Amino acid sequence: MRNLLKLFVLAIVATGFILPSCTKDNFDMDRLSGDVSYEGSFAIPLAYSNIAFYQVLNVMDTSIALQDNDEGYLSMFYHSYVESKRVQELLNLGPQHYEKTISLSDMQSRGVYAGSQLSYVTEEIISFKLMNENTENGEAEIDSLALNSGTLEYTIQSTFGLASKLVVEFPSITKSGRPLKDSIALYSTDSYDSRTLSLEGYTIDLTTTPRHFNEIPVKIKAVLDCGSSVPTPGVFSITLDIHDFNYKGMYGYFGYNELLFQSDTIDITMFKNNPKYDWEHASFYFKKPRLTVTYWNSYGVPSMFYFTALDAYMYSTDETWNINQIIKPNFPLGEANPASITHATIPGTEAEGMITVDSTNSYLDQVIPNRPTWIHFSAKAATNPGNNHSIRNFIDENSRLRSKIEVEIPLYGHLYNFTYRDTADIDISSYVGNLPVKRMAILLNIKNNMPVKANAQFYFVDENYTVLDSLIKNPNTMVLEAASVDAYGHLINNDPINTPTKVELTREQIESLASSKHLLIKITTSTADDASGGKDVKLFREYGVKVNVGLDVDLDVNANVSGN
Amino acid sequence: MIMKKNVLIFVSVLLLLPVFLNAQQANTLYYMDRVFQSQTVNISEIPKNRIQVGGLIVPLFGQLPPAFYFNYGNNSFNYNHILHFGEGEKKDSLVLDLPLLMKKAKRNTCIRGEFRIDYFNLSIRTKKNAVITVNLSDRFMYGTTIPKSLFDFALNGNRDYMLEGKSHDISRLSFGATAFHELGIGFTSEIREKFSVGGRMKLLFGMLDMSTKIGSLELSTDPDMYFITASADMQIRKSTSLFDYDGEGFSFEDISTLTNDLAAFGNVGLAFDLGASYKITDKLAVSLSVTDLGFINWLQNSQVASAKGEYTFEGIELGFLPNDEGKLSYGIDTARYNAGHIMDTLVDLFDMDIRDKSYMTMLPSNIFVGATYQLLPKLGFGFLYRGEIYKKTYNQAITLSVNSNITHWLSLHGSWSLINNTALNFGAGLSARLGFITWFIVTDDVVGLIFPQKAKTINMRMGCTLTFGHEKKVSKTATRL
Repeated sequence: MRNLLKLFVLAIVATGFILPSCTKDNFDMDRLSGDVSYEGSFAIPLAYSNIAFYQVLNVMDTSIALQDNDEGYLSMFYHSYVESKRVQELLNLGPQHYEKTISLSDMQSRGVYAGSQLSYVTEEIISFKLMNENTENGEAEIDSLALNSGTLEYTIQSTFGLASKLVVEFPSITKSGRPLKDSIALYSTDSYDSRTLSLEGYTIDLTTTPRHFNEIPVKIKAVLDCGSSVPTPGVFSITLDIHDFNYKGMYGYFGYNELLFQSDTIDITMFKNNPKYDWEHASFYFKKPRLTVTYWNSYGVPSMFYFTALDAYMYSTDETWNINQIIKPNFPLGEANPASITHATIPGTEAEGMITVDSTNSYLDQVIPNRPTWIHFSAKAATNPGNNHSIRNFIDENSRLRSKIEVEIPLYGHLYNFTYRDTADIDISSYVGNLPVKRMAILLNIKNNMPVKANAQFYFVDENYTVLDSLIKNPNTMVLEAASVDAYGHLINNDPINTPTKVELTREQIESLASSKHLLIKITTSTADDASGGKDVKLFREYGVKVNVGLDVDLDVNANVSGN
Repeated sequence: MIMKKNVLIFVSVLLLLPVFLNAQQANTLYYMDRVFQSQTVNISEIPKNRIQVGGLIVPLFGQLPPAFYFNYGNNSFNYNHILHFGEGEKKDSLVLDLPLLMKKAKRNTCIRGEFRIDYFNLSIRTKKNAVITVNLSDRFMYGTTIPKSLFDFALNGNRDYMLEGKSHDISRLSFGATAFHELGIGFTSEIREKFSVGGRMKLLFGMLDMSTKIGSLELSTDPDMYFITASADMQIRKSTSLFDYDGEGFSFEDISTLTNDLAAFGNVGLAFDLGASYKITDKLAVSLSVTDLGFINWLQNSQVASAKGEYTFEGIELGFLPNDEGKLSYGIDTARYNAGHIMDTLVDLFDMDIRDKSYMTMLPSNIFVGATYQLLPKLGFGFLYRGEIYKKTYNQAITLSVNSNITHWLSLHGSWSLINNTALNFGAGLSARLGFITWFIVTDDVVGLIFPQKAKTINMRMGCTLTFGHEKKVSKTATRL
């Protein structure tokens, strides 16, 4: 029994020393060969994507603004903004100056003695010099002004050598109902003094004189302390200056003012020469294209807008159409045929309006099929086109005329045989070489609720762009079948059209792609019921496709995957 | 390096992750009658000594060696069924052998494990052979069941099933990881001559739990679109502060928050061990034991995610997304598919209803049926049948043992077991008493400890107890009464 016990203990001790060295190699990951032998057949969904048509357009051309139009479907917009000068620059109130001389004889003849003081009062009118120098049809007639700021500066110079006092009062310049009034006192030793007053928050009524506009009355009172002696001859020289106007608002008649006179060019990037787009072999027609001038006018003044130039460059014919080739009689061309602009009726608000150039007043619908790459315009806007002085209006400190000039191409029409080409750089040699695939099939399933169909081809090419293979064997295979539309361009049936495409690749084909350097993509699309003169379709925001990509693959892994 | 890392992760997931594994798989221990820890598998066992004290909190002796138990079991494959040395030029290299793994996978691969630390054990036997036992332990249990159908889906692929119009039934898939404190109070009594019964009530305090409850789960592939549809009736449950779902997505806390879980006492459970032993003749005895018959009700930080219905995976979603410049570009919403959001994506995919609610888990329960035959005064033989019930699966094992209390201070035990579908399990046990100190070590598979790469079963229990009032002469081995 003792021997048995010894043997047992010996065995335990022995295993404690021997066994770890036997087993640890099995867990030594540095010994991992990386050789894997394995087979399996999988059919798996790789990816899916809901792609809206408008998203594709946005990616293809980032300059397009896609919006729902008035009829609910999508339109492509290319636009340019023009804007008038700020109102303070346009209607600038310059410095106003007035001066008056009062002699001893004036004071003695019309003044009043009270004790030893001789007082003289006179009421004068400061004529408000205008202002908007661009006025062509007479001065503006200002009824009133509300000032954010301004400065009144007046001076007195006396040659009497006596103590004196000057009082100025502006009964029509008020603040909180109180007229502006101020005075200067001179000692007998003083001959000159001046005062500067802020006009912040004052309003000026320029209608209190018989003329009823552009005049400010001022009452001037000069007092001379004569003492007991008769004053020696002398004069008071008085100056009044109002300057640094910053007005909050202004009422009256503002005359003719040129709000804007600008030209700009709108690029129609979709038609620009882009090697990815093949318009040459395509035919298309967009219905109801138009050019719109949308404006926002915060002037409270009647105004007008008109074009002075409109040109378009036609890429298809390499010629430029001028305005006479584009417009019809009702087109707002020149000062003689302007479009009127609505104006704000309440200070601080703005009126919005639109001037439309479409097939009723232009040949724009014939311009678009010629693939214009740009449209150039020159436009002008001015106030008071009728020069009617009886119409009294307002402007405020923020008055401005903003306008957006926009070319709208509604996605309503038909398209035939438009081809999109692209090239993707690929280098799959390192992947293909080790790809443990015996057979592979790519399943492309597209559910389409758009009235647009497409066929596609993908070419694998080498560095010299020599085609090695193509992905889709039948080039006429439609990867996208179009949904049918009715006479109004609407879908007849909202159920999406399902188009499955299966691409089989053998191991040999996969290996032959190892020298591929580029993938050429060619997608040709047409609208439903295509062919030139085909049925017009409308494309709505909710239109799109759902793409499902699946992979059916037989794996035959018999390789070293360690990367060593 | 990436390849090695990936393989290591793959093997770990299949094998090494369940280091803390399974319900009591202590077949050799069952007949170690001088080790009062055998009461953990048969409560009707009456210890030989009057008083025994053990556990980590016993100064010095409690740590020499520490009283612990671990078990790992896999009924399908071992490490070398996944990675093994190749042939010819590859004889010194490890080869990843997926076909062998597939070949070895059983209808249901059951991976189980447990790690147990005993902080305190006490056994007091009266003169009338009535025994009171107290134990305080922490237990970490893990179990996962992987249907072969899932291996088939992952390794062989789904194409054949798709063409045949069949689905992959993985309803038996399960996962569970549980940790809890256990306070047990047991009583064993010789109620009649040659017949003893025992019972232990165990108050359980759950620390953390992550588990599944799958009624049905099938994967089918649409032959037209290759969509993979899961027909599911399942729950995924958790009770831990480690992560949480707030209705928007998952938030993960630092691993240090696990200390909050370890100190949790709000998840209360109850379990029982029951046993009976009967000595038919002087040489022949039989016993029956049931362990871990109980449950834990999880209340703290508990959430239940439910999915019932059909859920279709169409692939990764691609779409137009605004780039840094605000322009649209086509691609994958990487934020949605990165590792941090993968759980959110799964929740979305299965349209899971996640609620803060309590739930109950059952412990993996064992039934032992044993018989011993005392051939010689110092030599006896034992037979043991063990069955384990855990989440729709029932695992069985048979053990034959030879047991000898060879001297008054030393006993030796050897066993052969059919466990986890392999017959190459040779166990050994030893207990030695030096004065008032009893030291023991036991395993059901010595080979598994030596060659873990070839083992489907790896377990070991050891400990040191203070023993008082031991028997003065050598007892017959394994006759129980």
